[in-house]
Amino acid sequence: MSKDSAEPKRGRHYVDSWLSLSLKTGVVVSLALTMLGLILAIIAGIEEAGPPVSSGQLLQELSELEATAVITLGVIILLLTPILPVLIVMVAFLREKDRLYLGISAVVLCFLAVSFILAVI
Amino acid sequence: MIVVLTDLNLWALGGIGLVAGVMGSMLGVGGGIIIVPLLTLVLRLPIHVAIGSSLVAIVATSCTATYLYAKDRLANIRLALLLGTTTTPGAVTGGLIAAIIATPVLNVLFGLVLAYIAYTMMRRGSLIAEDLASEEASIYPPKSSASSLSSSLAGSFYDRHLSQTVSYKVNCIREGLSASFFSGILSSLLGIGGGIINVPVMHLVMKMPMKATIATSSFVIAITTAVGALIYYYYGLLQPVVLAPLVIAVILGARLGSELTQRAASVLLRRIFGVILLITAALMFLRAARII
Repeated sequence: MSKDSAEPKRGRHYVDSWLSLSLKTGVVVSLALTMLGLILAIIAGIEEAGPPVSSGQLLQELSELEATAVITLGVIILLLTPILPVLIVMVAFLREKDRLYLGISAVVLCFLAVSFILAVI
Repeated sequence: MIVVLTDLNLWALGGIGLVAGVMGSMLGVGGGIIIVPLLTLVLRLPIHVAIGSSLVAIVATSCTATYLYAKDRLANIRLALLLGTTTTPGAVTGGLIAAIIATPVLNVLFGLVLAYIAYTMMRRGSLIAEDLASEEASIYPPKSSASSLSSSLAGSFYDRHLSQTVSYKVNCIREGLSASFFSGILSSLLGIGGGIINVPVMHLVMKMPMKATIATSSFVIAITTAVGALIYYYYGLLQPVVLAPLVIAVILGARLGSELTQRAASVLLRRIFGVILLITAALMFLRAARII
């Protein structure tokens, strides 16, 4: 490890900014929905918990502002959040024509996407 | 595998999330080692539901930590993705094993990991604080035979404390990849972040500076726990009504904990917490034996 006196040069650091922004947006949106769902659950006096709402019923239950559906959407967005930065980084590697890390990112994205599709859809 | 829970106390779930967030942040450990025993021992939730809930809470905290670290350009994104190629299959494997493993076995495994963490806490005091303090004087030269892959993983960050740019290379990539696979298994199997394996391996074996290690590890943990949580989602073990108070309170607790850390005597705190973890490990063994 060496230590230089200069601050790092600006280069591909826009990637870090986009990555940070995507994670922040995902967490904030997810928490907002989860909090709304929790308030709805408290108002409805829910004392029972079951599995998440299925994707087929999600839209209908969301339109009825069902607490479990709102929280399920919040959880889905939270679990999708780590996928966004991987996509952003892939675009950066594509622009840089960095095939090695494009492939590495694609492998990670595959595991995330396949897990998501199997679990949620 | 459909589990329906009745007589839930949302306030108690929030309380557990708050305690886990505060303690996890103050002690530099993931919330999982606190959430899982509290949910199983205090609220009597099935351990599989507790592990799934813990994984979702860790996704939230690690994403929050990563966006702060990425803003400061501390995380080595290339290394995080490279480790992700073994940690994600590890997470899938761990989730699949957890789904078929008997509850008492999971309780025993969790108790063993807790006992190990308690031992390291009491023995070494504040590991991270010590390492960060010693980092200023340390030099981690890359091996002369560093591969092109190793060179491509070289990173740098601006250390505000030192007012300098710290540059480093990454060594022993094969060992790091192997450790990440096991960290992924452990994470999904027990509902913990996997930092107990990632952080020492990245810092001590791969020779990364501690600040870059913690930042990179948090991104790896976000990816790993998301995959693990999705496996639990697939098996119907995530309970939205349990997750809501828990996740919100963990995030709030983590913020509060980072404020309190400035005032606490960390070595003493970690030793006290080490004793509490040992007692919790004993309780997990008793639960496995159906004595409590």
